[in-house]
Amino acid sequence: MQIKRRTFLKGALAGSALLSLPLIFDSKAQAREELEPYKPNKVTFNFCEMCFWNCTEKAFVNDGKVRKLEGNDKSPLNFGKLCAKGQAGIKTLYDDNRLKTPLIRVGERGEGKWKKVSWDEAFEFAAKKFKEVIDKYGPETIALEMHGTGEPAIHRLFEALGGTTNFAIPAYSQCTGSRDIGFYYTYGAALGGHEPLDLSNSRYIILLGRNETESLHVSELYHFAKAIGNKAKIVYVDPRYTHTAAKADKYLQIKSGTDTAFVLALINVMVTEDLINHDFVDKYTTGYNKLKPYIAKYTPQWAESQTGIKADEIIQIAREISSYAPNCIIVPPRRSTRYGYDTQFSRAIAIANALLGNWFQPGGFFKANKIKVPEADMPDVEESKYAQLAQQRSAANAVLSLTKLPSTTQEIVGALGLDNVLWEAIRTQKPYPIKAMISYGTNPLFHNGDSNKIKEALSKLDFYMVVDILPWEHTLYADIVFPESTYLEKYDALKSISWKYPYVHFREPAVDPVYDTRDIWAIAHGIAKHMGLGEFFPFKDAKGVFYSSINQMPKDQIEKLLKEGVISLEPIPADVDLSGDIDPKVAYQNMLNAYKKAPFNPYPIALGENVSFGTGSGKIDLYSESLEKDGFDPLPTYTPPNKPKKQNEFRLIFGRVAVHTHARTQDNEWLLEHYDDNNVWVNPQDAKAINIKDGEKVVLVKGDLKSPYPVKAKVTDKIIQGTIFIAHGWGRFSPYTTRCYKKGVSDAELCSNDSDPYSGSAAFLNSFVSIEKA
Amino acid sequence: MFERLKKEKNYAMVIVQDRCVDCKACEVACKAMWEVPDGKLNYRTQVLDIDKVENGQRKMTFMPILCNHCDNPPCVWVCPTGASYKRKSDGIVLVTPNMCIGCKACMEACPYDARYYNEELGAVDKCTFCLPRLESGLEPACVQTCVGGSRNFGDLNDPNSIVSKLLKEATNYWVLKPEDGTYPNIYYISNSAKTE
Repeated sequence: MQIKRRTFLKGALAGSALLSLPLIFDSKAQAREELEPYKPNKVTFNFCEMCFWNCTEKAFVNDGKVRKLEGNDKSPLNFGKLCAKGQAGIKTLYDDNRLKTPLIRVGERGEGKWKKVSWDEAFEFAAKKFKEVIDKYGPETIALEMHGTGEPAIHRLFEALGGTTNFAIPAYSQCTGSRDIGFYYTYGAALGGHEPLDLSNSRYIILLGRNETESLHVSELYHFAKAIGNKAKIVYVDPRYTHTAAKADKYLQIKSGTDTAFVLALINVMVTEDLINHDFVDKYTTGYNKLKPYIAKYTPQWAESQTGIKADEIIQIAREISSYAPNCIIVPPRRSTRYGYDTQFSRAIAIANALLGNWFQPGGFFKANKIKVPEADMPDVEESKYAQLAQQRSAANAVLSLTKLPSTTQEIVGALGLDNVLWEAIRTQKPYPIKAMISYGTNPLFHNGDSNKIKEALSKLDFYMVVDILPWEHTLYADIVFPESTYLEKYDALKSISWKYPYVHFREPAVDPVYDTRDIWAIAHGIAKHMGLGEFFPFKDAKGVFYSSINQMPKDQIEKLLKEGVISLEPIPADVDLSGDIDPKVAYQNMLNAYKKAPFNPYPIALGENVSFGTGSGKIDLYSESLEKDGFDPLPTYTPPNKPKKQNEFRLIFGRVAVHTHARTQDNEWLLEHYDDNNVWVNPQDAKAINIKDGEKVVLVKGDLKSPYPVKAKVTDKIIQGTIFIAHGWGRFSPYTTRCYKKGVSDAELCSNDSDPYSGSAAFLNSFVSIEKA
Repeated sequence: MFERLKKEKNYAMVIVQDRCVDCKACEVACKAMWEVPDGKLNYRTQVLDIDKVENGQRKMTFMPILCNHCDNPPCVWVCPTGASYKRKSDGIVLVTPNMCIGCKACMEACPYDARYYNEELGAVDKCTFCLPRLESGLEPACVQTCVGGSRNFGDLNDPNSIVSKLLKEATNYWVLKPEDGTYPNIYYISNSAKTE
């Protein structure tokens, strides 16, 4: 008999024949084998690398295989929790599609034809290529993009090779750049990778397209769920009804690209109705007297005309959130690379929060703390002969030559790079030819907009080196591919993270490498040695780096770290508890009293400390003189989003699903069971206009471009009219990642690659596409 | 009237539905823990998305489901070999694989779609409340990793257990398909209770 699953909700009942039988317990107990208690042979410590939140975890090993991953409950980051992606790390470890040996290209770029080589041959080849580029064009023509825990290793190699400023962390340029620049100009501080959002202690949370439940990081979601538990009011604003909308008290379907108008109107109401936190504004901010007359024009009625959200609704929200100040927050979205006016958006959010006075306050922004740990003992890489040569040549920063950014942004871009502009420099070979590129843990064909231009850029390189786990699309273009060990097969540098509850955690191999792979420190060491730069990599692999660092720590700390997998500062006071009849004021005071005794302080302003800010004024700049001086708008402005040129063209927006990380988990069996193809969300009105039915196979078209693999249309009013949505990271075209090959449509290929003039970061959502039946 | 028999322990799960965020961590954790064979239809637990529009307002909810470890278990009654049984000590419903002939009557009988046929075992398989983990002092894998703090596990006979407390504090709780008379041990509450 074939019994099909998933009939549950349809209500096919079979149990109705039950009578009131007395429950007879097991009569065959003697015949049964007892289930053995669960006992792993070995437990090793680690932190997750399925995404970059790096949750602390344990790996359980039985019979020489990793069987189970579990959050480390001693970690104050994730308190024992892992998400689906984290749990599924095992399937990446044992993915038989992995890169298994070093590869040298033998076919054309993009063909994916390689020969397998030994590690020595691979190192020799890379060294030869780097030398050629350095001799012919100079060391500054070597570029690097990187993402992941191994960044310090590959960046060290890059510097030893004489690489200068032509490197980029896409996490800035393709993700948080505009948000962080907006906060930098306002608070003198970027929010960084682990955002200081005190969600669990918040009573009112406004999310503007920050999809907490699907674009998820475990501890942020954990604290968000705690806010739900505390009955915090949650307002979710997005053109799309996401799973986060499902968790909100109020969902507002905003017109795409108009969020800044919404926030400016919130400020307008707060100022006009005098709802602001005067004590805080007087003490900690500059420029309120300039903001006040300026904001008058951004009325809720005006905002309604832009956003489609009723003026009354905006007024009510502004009043409500102000009534909870300072224990409330307007969350600055993480990926703020949307419309090219994103720094203005971020500035507006930063200012609105400042008027609520929630900085370093429970439920607002906490102060992150960090435990200082010793660094591995390695010589100064600037002494390398190539670094010296680069210094003599003092070539310009290519990215800064191609942009006109405000001066403070230029300093930040100097430290983090602009990957979007870097690839444009390669494509145009301007201001000078860039001839070698290293991609470490990044796939430029999936994190850049208008990604076909990247293929063109790749053709301009003399040498393209890739270090990765899986044979993703960019590896098809690489001259050499170094297969990296997964996080479960290696050590790594000791990691101390700046977070509300500061902590240090570490990584050790759970099993030996499954294939012939090495860690990034070993790869960098190998290349350096073949370049005559061995002295700058005194350790042959990550293990050496790790032990060099921890051996400088006090003995009791080493023991604690190796025994528990994590060191944190204790005690950690409990979050505010608003259940029962307690007066919230008392509840917050109780929590703050507990923090007075804690060894770290996330709420210095609430606890009465004097705080100064990293802006020139030492205060929060509502009005930015720094921007004004550079000829930029000192107060946030609003620019309406662009419009389609033709009828039946739709704005393409994209986002994440809960079970995938960027473009790097789509070959994972367990995650594919939950999401194995993307679909195109189309509003019913739009679908009617173009005669597309729900479930029908379609392709997306933009100019000459047509998405190659048909996907289903999902006709739903969860997406606003005029906009279509697809999940990020699909349209996979590497034949070697067989589980996702030819699946989905690629957002990277079709989205825009504009940029924000304040941050230089990308703007992806200005693209319009049409839909055709497949 | 069916009478629930007294057990030494009364293991139960209380699911705070508001706090389920549909992250699927539980499903993958369970799959890893018990080496449930690959494939979408092989699972011991699942999170359902329920998408409704009521009075013009969209309301999407997420509902974790698993074996209800019923006190009146239809799967046990229909099993011709006695492979499916309910433990007297704690009420956990189990399948003994070597006694299962794969007739799938239990799958048909289960009103909760909580069972699947495991080709590798050659037997029907299901949630065990992670009994082997319980015996090692660990929580069930799905509870251990539940990011939203939605799933809570414990002994209802112990008034100090998290499940007893949650049910006591809840203004309302419900079980699935009570009309079937299965007397489930999975409880749902909607108010945003305090859990860890």
